Amino acid sequence: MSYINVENVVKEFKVVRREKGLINALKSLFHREYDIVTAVDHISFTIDKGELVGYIGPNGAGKSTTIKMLSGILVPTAGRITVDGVIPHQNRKENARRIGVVFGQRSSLEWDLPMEETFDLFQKIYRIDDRMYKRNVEFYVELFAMQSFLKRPVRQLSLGQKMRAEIAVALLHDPEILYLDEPTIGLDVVAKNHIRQFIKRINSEKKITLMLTTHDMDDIEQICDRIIMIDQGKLLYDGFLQNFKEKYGGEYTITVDFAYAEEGREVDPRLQLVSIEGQRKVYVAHRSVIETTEALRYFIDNFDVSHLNIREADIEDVVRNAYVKG
Amino acid sequence: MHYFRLYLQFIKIRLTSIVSYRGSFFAGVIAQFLSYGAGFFATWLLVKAFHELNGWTPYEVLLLYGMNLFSYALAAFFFFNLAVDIENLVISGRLDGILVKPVNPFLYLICNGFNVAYFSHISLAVFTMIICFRGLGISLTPIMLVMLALSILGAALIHAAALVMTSVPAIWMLRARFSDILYWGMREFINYPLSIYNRAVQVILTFILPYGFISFYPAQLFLGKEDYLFHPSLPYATLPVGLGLFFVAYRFWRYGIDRYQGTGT
Repeated sequence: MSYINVENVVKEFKVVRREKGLINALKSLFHREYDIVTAVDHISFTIDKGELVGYIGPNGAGKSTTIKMLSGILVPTAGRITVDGVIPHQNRKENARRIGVVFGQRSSLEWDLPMEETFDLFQKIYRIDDRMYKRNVEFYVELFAMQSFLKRPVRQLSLGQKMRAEIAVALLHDPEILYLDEPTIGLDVVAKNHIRQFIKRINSEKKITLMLTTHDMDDIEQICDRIIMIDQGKLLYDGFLQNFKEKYGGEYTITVDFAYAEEGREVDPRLQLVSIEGQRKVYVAHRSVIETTEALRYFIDNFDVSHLNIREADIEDVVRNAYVKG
Repeated sequence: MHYFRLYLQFIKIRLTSIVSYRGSFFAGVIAQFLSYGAGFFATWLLVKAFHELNGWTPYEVLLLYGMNLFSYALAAFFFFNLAVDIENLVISGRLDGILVKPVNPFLYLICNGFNVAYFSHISLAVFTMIICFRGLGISLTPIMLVMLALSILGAALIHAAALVMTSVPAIWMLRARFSDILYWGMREFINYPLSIYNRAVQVILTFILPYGFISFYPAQLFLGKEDYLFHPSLPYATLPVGLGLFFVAYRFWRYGIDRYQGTGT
């Protein structure tokens, strides 16, 4: 039996069907029609103690719904979840004591309270004994470099500072598992990098089992050892990051604005033309076939190019690829 | 003990934020005073104009107002945020944040909802009740004082039950304004003696929405009124009715949360 077990889990939501028009609106007062939306569709996986798993997929894939079921907020429609032998929604409070949860898009902090006092509040909520409390506050204030903003009310903190504070507070009661739902969303590049470093250190130093959802490919490449990818509620991939990258990664898109209409000229066949729009052409290539630097040099050396743009594959591309390759 | 400590912590937090938003706090207190003070005077003027309502003198009717306001303020002090804020909590996702904590969400929300604004209601209500008993020349014996306290506790539980029950549809994101209107509208009825209404209203306010137990029935006891409706034991029934209703309301609220967890809407 693994630490976290998810067996054939399904979560369906009933959504009221809304149709346009006054007559339909009046009708719906008396008779409502529902659509069943399957947010999570027969998903199974297991996670061992101490793993760092990236739970990835595009927006609306069912990532947050899974996290909510794992943390005991939502009850699965079908299937079975156990976390360390406990069914989360049936033993919600017991489960809550051993997990920390951070929702990136909403705050669990008191707006007017400085972090110093927020720590106090969480000590009371989780009934943390004084010694552990002192040790953890010291540890996380140091780890997350929070000293400079401890006394400022939360509403005055930057997004990056707030995220550090959210994670610190979620770890105060020494949880065995930390669920992070989109921990880097909305942050700038520097702040994202900080958060990634912190996440890795928590996993390696505190041995906390960590599951994070994201749709940021850089998060995935830089933090995760293992990837579980879902889309439209279905599991598409479960395995090591390295295999994942080999299988689905490495694709990139080059957009080229030619100075002159380059009618009829052949372009290197390793670069696949996907669209033409006047003098702008878009090519797709794969790193295993041609490196990005080589492709750039090829265009600059052989053509009169006024503008070049390279874009790495994002999660939507990867998911599309996964469907193509199966 | 756990929740008591948590409650103290939240009181500290709320008081700190009052210090940082002083202006808005005092403006709120003054506004509450004015609006409830206006209700007080409206009732007073109306009763003065009639001299008496079905044998109830102005002071006696005003006592109904005082008991209603006092018990409402007590209930709202603990339950207003839980009841009125729940829709926000669901929409903003903060309810999820509470459900991942090892706490009873109901007790947690009561702790979190410490609201100083109700001190203005309570002081106005106590002031009104003192005026009434003085004006009527009634001095309550210690036993009667205990009965008064228990009746007000029961009445507060009735108000609390109504606040809690009407908030449940909001957990499911059904804006049930209808239940609010039922609650806030019916509350006006009980500022006057139940005996002035027709039988249908009396039945409703006794057996269906038992608001009569908030002020009319217990007031009969303290004022020595004998215009009994239905049964002469009803003036003693406020506390049991309150306890019963509150228990039902709490179960209904828990059911509301369970269904939220089941459907996620």
